[in-house]
Amino acid sequence: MVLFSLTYLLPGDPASVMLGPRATPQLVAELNERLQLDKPVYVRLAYYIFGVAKGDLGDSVWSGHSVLSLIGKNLPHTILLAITSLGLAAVIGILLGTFASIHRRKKIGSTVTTLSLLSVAVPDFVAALLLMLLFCIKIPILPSLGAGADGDIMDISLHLILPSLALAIGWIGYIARLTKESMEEVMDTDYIRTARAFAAPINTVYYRYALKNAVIPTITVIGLGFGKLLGGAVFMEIIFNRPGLGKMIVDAVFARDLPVVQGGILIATILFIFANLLADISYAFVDPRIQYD
Amino acid sequence: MTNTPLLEVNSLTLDYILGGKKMRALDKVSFTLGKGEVMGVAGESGCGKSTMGLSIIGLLPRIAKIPRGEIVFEGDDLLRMSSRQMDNEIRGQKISMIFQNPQNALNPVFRIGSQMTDILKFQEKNRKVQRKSSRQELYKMAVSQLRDTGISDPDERISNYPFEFSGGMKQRVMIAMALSSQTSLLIADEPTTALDMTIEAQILELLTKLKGKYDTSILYISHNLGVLSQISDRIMIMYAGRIFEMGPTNVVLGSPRHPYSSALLESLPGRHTKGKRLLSIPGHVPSLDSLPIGCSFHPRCPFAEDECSKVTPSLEIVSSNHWSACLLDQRRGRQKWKWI
Repeated sequence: MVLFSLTYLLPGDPASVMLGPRATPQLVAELNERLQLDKPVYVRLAYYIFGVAKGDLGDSVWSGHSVLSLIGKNLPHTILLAITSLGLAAVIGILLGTFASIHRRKKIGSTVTTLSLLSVAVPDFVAALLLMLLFCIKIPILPSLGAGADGDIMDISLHLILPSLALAIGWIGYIARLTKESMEEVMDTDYIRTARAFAAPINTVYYRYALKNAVIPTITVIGLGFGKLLGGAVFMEIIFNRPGLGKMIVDAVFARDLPVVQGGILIATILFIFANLLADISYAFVDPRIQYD
Repeated sequence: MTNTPLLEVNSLTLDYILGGKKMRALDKVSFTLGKGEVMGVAGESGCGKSTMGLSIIGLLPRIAKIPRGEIVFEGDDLLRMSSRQMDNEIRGQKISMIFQNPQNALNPVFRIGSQMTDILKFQEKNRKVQRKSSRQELYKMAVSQLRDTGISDPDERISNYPFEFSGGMKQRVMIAMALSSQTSLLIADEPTTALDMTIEAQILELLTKLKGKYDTSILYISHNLGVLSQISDRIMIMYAGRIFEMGPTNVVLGSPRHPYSSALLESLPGRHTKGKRLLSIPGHVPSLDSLPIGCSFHPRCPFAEDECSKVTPSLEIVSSNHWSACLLDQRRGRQKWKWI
């Protein structure tokens, strides 16, 4: 409902955008009737809610395609991008953080820590432009625009590298720092001392005993971060001209294509809630103290 | 007890260095421990008991520095060993340590069985056995260790996580892991302090039983003289990093020569003090960075004389096998310390 009312705060009405400046009032009225825009707000809200309940998000005012089919076309790209960068961020971030905590008394450890702090400060769209400049223009080895040809896995992966990396950079730093801190905390605990008292090899202590405890807070952050990542994905989709949920919504906003905006945001919200749920469930895998019946 | 001691600590001195400040945590600590002997270490909190245990097993925090002293174990000075050598030959095999708080001593995210078999694996690796045991064999060994410590249904319990165990059971698991047949010295750092009294009695019984089985020597650290009187052959009373009194349990507890030991005894609830107030020693253990000159106990000692604040007493033999570090006692012979 909030979603629904927000779209009405948008200035401009779809009919005049669609028909252009030369539209006659008669045409506008006709279109408004077809789109049920002449009905009062509460009637439209009721229509909308019924529609959503039936799985019908309405049709695009602009292209006439159903919103669901548009989302179906765009969503996989966004999810692929988000999951890839989240995966990158988690794997690289956790490894770097562990590395930095093990070598914290050496130069290499503090360098990693400083770099990860710096990377948090770089906005992802800046990182995207820099990466693009580096790998598409200075050393042109990676494609810059689009999402790759459908079905061509190699092409899709190549197109995925830059946007997912740009999106992941800040997260890598954040996760690395978090992992490092939580590693250091864990290394001071009694059970690590126990392991040391039984001559557990130091690498086993770090990578097996300590890490499994240290990633627990990291998982929370990854789960909560998914929403922010979706926001970042919008930038990536625009900068790299990739199809995706974010780009779809932004285009729809410019076109005043209200059903698409509503549908897109609704799906993004569901995605966000779903991601948090997944994060909660994933605790149970690392922390046996948490069980869901 | 045999003639050559298993462990010989010679004038062990240890400083904690914190922000450029040097704090003496152990000062010329010397004692020996025979094979199969149980030495009780008593004293108030912060007097260096745990530090001593950690220095023997070589798990001191980074800020600890040992300027002097040696810890001779089976003929080798442990302080001269590299950390790798300690890992390969000593830690977890010949010397084990169990800690005060069993609640946190086991890794919360691994099953009991996996933690126990891991340790068996490390021990095998370090012992360089020819044929490594298979997973099933290690598992069986762990189950039988659990059974030895009196945990019922060890077959099922072994796949539990630590949070599914009570504190007493966790301490049993720790003891099971610590007492493989090879262990010749067990450092028990207040293993029952966090447990209630019935469990404490069971753990003590278990330790005594296993000690008899494997002929393990135990350095039993506790502030509870009652517990020490049950389990230890000899007792060492520590205060502010020094040994104040050391001797056979019944001698030290029966006729203490140091005013601090007698104060500790007076502050123990027991039948003979029924209706009487328990003693609370005035003042508190001095902080390590501002130790008093002379006898470190003199500010709290009602019997102290001028000399006590000038001369630092050394640990001297007062009767057969009985050592004490009180100037007055050494000068004038046996004193009656009337605290109450």
